[in-house]
Amino acid sequence: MSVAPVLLAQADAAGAAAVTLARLILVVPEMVLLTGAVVATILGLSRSRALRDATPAAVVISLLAAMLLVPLVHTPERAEAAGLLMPMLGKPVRMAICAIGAMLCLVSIGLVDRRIEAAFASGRAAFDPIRVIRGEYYAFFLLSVTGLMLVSTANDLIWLFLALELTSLPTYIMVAISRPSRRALEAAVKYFFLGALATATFLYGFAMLYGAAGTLILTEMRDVFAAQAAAGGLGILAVLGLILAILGVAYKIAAAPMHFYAADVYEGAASPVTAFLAFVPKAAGMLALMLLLGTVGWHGHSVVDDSGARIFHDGLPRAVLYALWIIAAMTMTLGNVGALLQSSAKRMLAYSSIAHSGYMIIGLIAGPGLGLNSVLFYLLAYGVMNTAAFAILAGLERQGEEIESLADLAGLARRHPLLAAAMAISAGSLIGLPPLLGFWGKLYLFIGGIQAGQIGLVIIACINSAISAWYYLRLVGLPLLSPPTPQAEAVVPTPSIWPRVAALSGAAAILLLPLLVQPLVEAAQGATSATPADFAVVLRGAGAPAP
Amino acid sequence: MALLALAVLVVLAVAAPFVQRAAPRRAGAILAAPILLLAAGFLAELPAVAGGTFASSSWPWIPDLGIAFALRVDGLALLFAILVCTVGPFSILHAGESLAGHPRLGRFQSTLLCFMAAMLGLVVADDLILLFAFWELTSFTSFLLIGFDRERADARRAALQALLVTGGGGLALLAGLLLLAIAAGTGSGPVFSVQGLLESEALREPAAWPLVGPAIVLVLAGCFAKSAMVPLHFWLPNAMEAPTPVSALLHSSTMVKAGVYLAARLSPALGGIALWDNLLLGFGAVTMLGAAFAASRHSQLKKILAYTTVSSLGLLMLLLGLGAAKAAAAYLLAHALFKGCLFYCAGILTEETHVKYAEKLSGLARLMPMTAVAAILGALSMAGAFPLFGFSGKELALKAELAAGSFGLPLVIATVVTAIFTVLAAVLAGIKPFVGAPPRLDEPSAESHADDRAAGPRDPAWPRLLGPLVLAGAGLVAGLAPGLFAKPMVMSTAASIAGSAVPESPLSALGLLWPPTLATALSIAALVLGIVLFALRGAWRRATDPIAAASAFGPDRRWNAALDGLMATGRLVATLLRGPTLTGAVRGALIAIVAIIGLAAWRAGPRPDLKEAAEGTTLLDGAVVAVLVISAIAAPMVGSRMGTIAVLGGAGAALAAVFLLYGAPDLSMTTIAVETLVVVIASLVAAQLPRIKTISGAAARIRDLGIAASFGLLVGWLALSVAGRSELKPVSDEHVLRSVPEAYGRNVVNVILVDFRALDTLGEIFVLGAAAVGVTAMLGTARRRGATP
Repeated sequence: MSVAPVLLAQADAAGAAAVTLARLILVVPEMVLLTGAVVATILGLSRSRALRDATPAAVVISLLAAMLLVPLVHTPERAEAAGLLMPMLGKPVRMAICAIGAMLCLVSIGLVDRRIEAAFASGRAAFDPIRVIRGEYYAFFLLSVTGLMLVSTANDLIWLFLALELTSLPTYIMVAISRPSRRALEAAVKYFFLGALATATFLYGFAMLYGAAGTLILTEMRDVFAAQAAAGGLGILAVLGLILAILGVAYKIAAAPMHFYAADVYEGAASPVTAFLAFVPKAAGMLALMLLLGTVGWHGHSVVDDSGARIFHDGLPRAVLYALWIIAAMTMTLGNVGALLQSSAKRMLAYSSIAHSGYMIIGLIAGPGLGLNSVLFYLLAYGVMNTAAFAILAGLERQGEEIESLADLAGLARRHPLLAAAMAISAGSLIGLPPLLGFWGKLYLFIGGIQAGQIGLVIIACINSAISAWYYLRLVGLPLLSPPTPQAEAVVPTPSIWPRVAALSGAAAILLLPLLVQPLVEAAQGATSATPADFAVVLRGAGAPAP
Repeated sequence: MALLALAVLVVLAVAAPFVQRAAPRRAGAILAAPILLLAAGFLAELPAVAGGTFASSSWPWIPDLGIAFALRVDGLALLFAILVCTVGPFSILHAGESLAGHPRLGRFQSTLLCFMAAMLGLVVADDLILLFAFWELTSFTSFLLIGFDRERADARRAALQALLVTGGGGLALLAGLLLLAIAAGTGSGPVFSVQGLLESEALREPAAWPLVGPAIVLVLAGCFAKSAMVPLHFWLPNAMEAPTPVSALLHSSTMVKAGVYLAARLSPALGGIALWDNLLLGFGAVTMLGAAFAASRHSQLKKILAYTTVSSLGLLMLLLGLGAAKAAAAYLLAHALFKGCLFYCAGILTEETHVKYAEKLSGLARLMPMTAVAAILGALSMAGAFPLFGFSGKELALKAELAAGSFGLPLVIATVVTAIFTVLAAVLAGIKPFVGAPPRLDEPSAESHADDRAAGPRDPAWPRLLGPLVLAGAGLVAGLAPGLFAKPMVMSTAASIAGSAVPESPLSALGLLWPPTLATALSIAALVLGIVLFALRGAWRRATDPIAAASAFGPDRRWNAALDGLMATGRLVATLLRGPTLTGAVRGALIAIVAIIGLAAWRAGPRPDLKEAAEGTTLLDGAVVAVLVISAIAAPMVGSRMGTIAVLGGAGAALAAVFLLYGAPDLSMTTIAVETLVVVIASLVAAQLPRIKTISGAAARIRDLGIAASFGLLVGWLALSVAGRSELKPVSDEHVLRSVPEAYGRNVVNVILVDFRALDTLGEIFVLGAAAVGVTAMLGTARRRGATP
């Protein structure tokens, strides 16, 4: 069983109680979400159709309530008292998660139980609570989002592990029940087994990290590792443990070499679930990586050269840096080159979402200041634009089946100009065309990368962006320019209006959020700094000459 | 003024579809008039700008990074602004006529106006990020404009190609601009202000070179892609799929010049750095000569003009590389005037006669005299004939090259040869269609429409005629009396390019002709030889067929090859690296983990002391390990599921024994319980599964054995390395010590679970609960499938 000598080392039991209390109050928004999950389960089983239909509303309401609660409970003092590694990380991140979560929930309205509800409505079947899965679906939805939010306030490895698992476990089920097809089941099995492998990998890494630091608490790990680095270099155990953990968590962000599942699973699941998978576990993995790398830090590391002299260098420990570098370069390239070939829009977006993880790793390598800020900003941008793109797929259908192939989108502009425009805007943003939201995300990542000396990676990212333009532009060109094919003529909007609402609001956000880049990045800056004192340093360090 | 102009253009762009619907016949004039007023406004700023006073304004956008919405109108920006605001409205007028009745005309005008706004923004932007945003917007609007005729696959393909080349080049540009901004900042944050960048001394410091070197390559890659330099030139001739107004505006005077603009804009900061100069010179010279050669062999009107445009862009880049600011400025203006004029004339010719090929046209001067005047003036200017402004431009270019010293000679030769080809192209495209035998109107042309043939070709109405006439007239006035507008424009532009005021020298055609110099002689020689070549063009084309076939200047074969290559790589990646099956994916992940961890461990790695680890082991240990190893090896060899499960159960029992031997009886008991449960559950599941039919072949087994063995060895190695590090105090003593006084519990395990780590236990319960609900949902789904097949 897990142990924490530190809690015990604190003679003052009242102090420990205060820490626990602070941590409990910090997670009040998560408790709201859990309550929402319970409510969703009950509503979903209700005999009344109206109550069953209200399930997603309960989800959205609990997400919005949690979003409003976050700034109330997440005060700097409380975050300080809870002893978090990045005290304010949870504030903007959790608010953004709730907002994107609400958008994702809108996308999935009308997804599950469509046939069975039709059967109930027509009287062909009598209502049977065991035959509806709406309650479970939305409860899992909220549980997974809860896990993601818990990652951002993790302060020890066990919490981090549990939060990551809470994020992932519901998604395995969501894939399986998202649509009645063999492919969904196959995808779920694949996802589950590879997920288990990944979990074992990072758990092993966590164990090694514990062995190296002698503590599970992230802030104390940071201090132990800093002392080790100053006294002659980080122990090999810490480095290997960290790399193992990174490789395991790479699964959550669908980064190479743990990306193998992404294309099949994303394609097998229904579009709304795919949108969910492409954001929630990925964000959890990114935040977890941020915290894990935060324990070793981005400075004070050294290598021993051939003559035996110790040379201090900027940035992450060399071995970790190389591992991340390789992961980033492979992830970007494999994702983009893989996406090139796809004739299925969903599969293309799946591969391309692999590539976006690669871009974000550049920010992780760059570290505090612009690097980490840009990761958070990019996560937000990616969440909005990717969800919007999937929402358009989810908002259209052909003969009751969800559309998948690119050809289905041909000539969309003639019949649904707004949706076509939303698709063009989302795809443009995913490429990084200025002045759309995605451009600012890339800009920050690239500046952060260059300032950290990672010019090679930034150039690889630019080349990859050019490759991505080739396939993303099909999402612009086909709906806007091409004449509709007979196949595309049969594409109609889904009965539920909400996925389209999500798509259009996402497109609006892509257009409008660039006006708020400055406040958003300021929020990210507050979030990633280690302590409020460091916050000021970061601000001064990154501050450009006043305009 | 710049902001006002941007606002007017955006408002017009929004209003265009409505205007078009409300007043279909007069919409062109209504939309064009305000822009011509803007052009007048910009012209009115000319004296002040020539005097060295620049209007600038700035609003903060992202103060943390120093990114601002900053505008600045200096000589270079003003020249482009005037071009955008004069050629632009002509294009709108032209489109209003030539596309009259087209259902999407309103949207076309709107896109055209958006493009003009983007282009204007690009040249007046005083912030690198703003500049880049406008840069990509010009690419995107031009994509929509080229693909306007979306029913035709060629147009769609050309549009996408142009966007990919120019937009993709844009990404290189972004990386380059970021590098420059950071290099100029020297640690105090990036400098995004263009003025700040130009004034920065840091760029020329040796310390900045690691950033500036790649920056130059990347920035120029972006400029070359946009301005169609070889080998990225191919998109421009293909972009001639676009309607005439687009070609005249985008592909002669504005968008393709954006690359030249940016190179000129950055010249004060980077000019004189050998890499910068040499790249501009090299690519400029090759493009100039190669494209002119290609132009000399074409006979399709718009293609001739497109290739000569590429050639001119090459000359401009070359002049920038030489640092010949004044020559570059003069040629820039001259080219915009005559090429815009010729594009409009070519468009009118094609629209009126439905013939695309210059060789098929002759004697049209009598039928369309006004067009003929404009076209001939434009062609003469392009050929560099006295006294048009094209003559002045070419003369200054030759003079600058002659002054460049020893390496100037090859450049002079290349320029003269280019001039000869250009004369041929100019005569063919601009003069030949109008002179000679009158056309036989009754000759049925394959491309003509029945109803148009009766009317025959004639001069169009003023909206289409205004543009070419004004541009041709401006070329003539500029050559004869440059003081009117050309001289202040050229001088202030040259000052922007050079970074400081340039010395006065004659600019008028007369002033350059007399007293004659070597440049004059070369220019006249080129003119004469060009006319001779025109007369012999049939023989010339036949003679050069082999070269053309061998050269890469043909259709964009390499583009297709490159795309094919990219696709093939994609397929390779997909087949090689994507695990098509679950086992394949597991294999891939395991190999990667072993490789990355193994490499890191090997590089810095722990060297476990086997001797020390072996110390104190007993025979019993050996026996337990033997059971473990044997069951691990036996598991995949048994051949039946039940057998494998049983053997793995044996391995589990051996593991429990290990725990027991090393003093962890509770852990051992837990392990036995879990292992037993797993065996029972797995057997129950296995009983339901079909029998294993196919077992992988020998090669696959050996491969899997290798993967499994390497993974096992890695984990074992790591475990051994960890075992040696016992400097950390075990935490269990502390737990036992505090269990009673702090938690009032005697069972330490319980205390840890519900007290010391209570929050984690709560989390575990949640996770397990979620898993349990999930299993229920899955079972429910399965039952439902059974119920409703």
